[in-house]
Amino acid sequence: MIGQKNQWRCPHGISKARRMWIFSIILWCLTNGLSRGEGYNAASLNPTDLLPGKKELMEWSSVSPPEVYLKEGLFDYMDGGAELYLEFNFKRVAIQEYTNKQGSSFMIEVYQMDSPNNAYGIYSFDTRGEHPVIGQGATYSSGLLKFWKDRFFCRILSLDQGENLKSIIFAIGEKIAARILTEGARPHILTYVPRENITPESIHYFHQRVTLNNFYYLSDKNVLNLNEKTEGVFFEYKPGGKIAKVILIRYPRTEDSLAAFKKFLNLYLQDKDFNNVGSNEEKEIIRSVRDGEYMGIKLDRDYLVLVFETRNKQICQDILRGMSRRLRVRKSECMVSSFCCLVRRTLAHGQNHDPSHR
Amino acid sequence: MKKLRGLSNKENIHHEETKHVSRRDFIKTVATGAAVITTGKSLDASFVSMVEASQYSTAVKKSAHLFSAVGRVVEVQDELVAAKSYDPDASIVQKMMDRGMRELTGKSSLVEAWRSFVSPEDVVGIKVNVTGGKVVMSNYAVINSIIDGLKSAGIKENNIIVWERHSGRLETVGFKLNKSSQGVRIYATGDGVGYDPEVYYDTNIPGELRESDLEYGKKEISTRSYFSKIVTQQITKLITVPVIKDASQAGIAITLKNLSFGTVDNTPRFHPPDILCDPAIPEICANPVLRDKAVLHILDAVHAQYNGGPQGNPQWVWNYNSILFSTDPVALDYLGAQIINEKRKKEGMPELAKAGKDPRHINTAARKGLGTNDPGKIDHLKIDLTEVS
Repeated sequence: MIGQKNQWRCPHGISKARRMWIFSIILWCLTNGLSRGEGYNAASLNPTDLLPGKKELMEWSSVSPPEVYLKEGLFDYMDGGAELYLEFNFKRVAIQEYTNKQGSSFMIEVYQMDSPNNAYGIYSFDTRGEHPVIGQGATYSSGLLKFWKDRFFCRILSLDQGENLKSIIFAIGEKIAARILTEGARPHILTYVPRENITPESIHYFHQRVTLNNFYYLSDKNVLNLNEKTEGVFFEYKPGGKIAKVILIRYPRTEDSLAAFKKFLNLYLQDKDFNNVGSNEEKEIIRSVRDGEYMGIKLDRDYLVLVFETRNKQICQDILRGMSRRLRVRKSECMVSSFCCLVRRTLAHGQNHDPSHR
Repeated sequence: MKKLRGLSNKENIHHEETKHVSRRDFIKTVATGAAVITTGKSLDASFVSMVEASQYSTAVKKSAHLFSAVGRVVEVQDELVAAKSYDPDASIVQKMMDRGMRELTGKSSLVEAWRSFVSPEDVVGIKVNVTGGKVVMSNYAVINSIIDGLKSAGIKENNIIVWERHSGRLETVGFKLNKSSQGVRIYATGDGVGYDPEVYYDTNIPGELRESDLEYGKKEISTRSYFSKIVTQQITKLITVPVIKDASQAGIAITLKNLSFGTVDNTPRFHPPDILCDPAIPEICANPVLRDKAVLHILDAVHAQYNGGPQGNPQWVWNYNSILFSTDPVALDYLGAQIINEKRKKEGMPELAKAGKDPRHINTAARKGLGTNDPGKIDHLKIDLTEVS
């Protein structure tokens, strides 16, 4: 019988090596996919999939079926607050309230954004408070837990008091986060933010001026030509003790950053001498603005760096140039990293393309 | 805690010993039934933003305001009102309401104070604000007290309509909808009532229509915002219960925004940064259908939010512990903006205008004669009950 078994041939003519390869894939799916129970890849999830069910919440029960709002209906849910979410390419939100027999209640809102960048962006709007280890970043303050993971941003709110409720909220947050198996990368522009002398809660990611104005108000006008294709980061930096405000913006093309640079000079600094700035030049301007404070702007290829509220010109210049150095160093690192990654992928692809070659 | 008895039993809830009205209790106070909503007065009104008020002829004008005082604002404060729980203490709220109504109207009798605004034949709408969720919303204790005051003035229970624009949001914060002919009615414009095709605000800002808009399905874009049938057809008087919040576009979302954007459809078109809801907010409020019916504004400032609004964000909410009473929505918004600015200053934040949230609609509203924003003309009476209790 053993001999007969060894002589078996696949009726479809698939080689032994290829059969082993298919078997390995099935085995991997079984072990990494199904065995994780209720976890899913973020791409296949809807916000409603993440709302806890009856079994998980024990004594808590949902008050009514979940409400779901899509992009078009978000204003119905939060009126003017929708602008902020729409700036971060909001897709949908699921909302569910839960109560227990004692009359305590909490509400879960699960927002699905178009990308991890934007889930992080809406999360970064306010990160003051405790930071429990939930998802890829979490903040708890005044009864509200917020966290992000992959393309989801979640809020769990209870206005009832008690330490016990706080731990319940954390546990629910952990469960929701655990259902999202994948993690998303944080916006690349954050890699240029210095690691030292930074107030972590001051780091905010943005695309347009509606959001930026919430952290640092520049003007009623769009003086930096911000739009859905630009991305930026705002942070507070205190290399010399006094806090300076720094804005770093990446534009899709060098021409765009140049146009924004000129517009800022014209409208904000009311300086019309720089209209003839060439596209490939690096320009740096520092001005005394008020009460001995300085602000500076630096054009560095497709980036603009802006520094506000520095005590003296030297600090302003140091920050601008320091940021510029970071842009260049990080870009070189990224190019090396990308090249290495490409090489690895090519090699891996060559090896995996036909397993029978091994 | 002692449970409140149902309003359908014609009980005065404030005579109860209950000190704390929870959301659940509030729901229980509102009886539900199965009958259909009674039809309100149908108004023969058609309105475009530029139409003069004199062209407007409705039943409302026959029962014009009995009391109105431009610039007069009574603020009643009690630091203990939300000291024990997030939901305000109902008995303290009741004291604040009673004092505020008496001071505003100058009447020693509470019944007379309420009758300064309504008469028994009125159908009274109470426009609440729940867009901030449970974090900053018109509190149940305040709404209950208003319902009670209206009943004491002879308004039939079923002639009181607690309403919002979207029913989903009402339910999310715990209101149980009631469209029946029993008890206080609670529902939203979006809950089958709809918008009046005859009454609209038309301005040259096109808006992409959404499912909840009247013209959705017929057009993709419209320059019109239609008024809720609750306001145009069902009620004869309107009491608003706004809250204090900042707002990323309008600067603040207090009285004027609650009154205007809470009543009409197709409003997202007014929010982009170059428009900032102005002059849409004052122009909608200037529509006689709102201006004539909105007789009283009771600003629920027990909790207030100084940043991150209009979505409720508890980290920026503080207990302001006040209720403000006025017939002047502009004066209330002016003071509300000041309250927010003072708090922002304390927290080391720039004032609204310097944070790109200039509530410029207040000036526009004053210019349109909807009230006053002149500090010299605002008669702001502050009463602290904490000191006397």
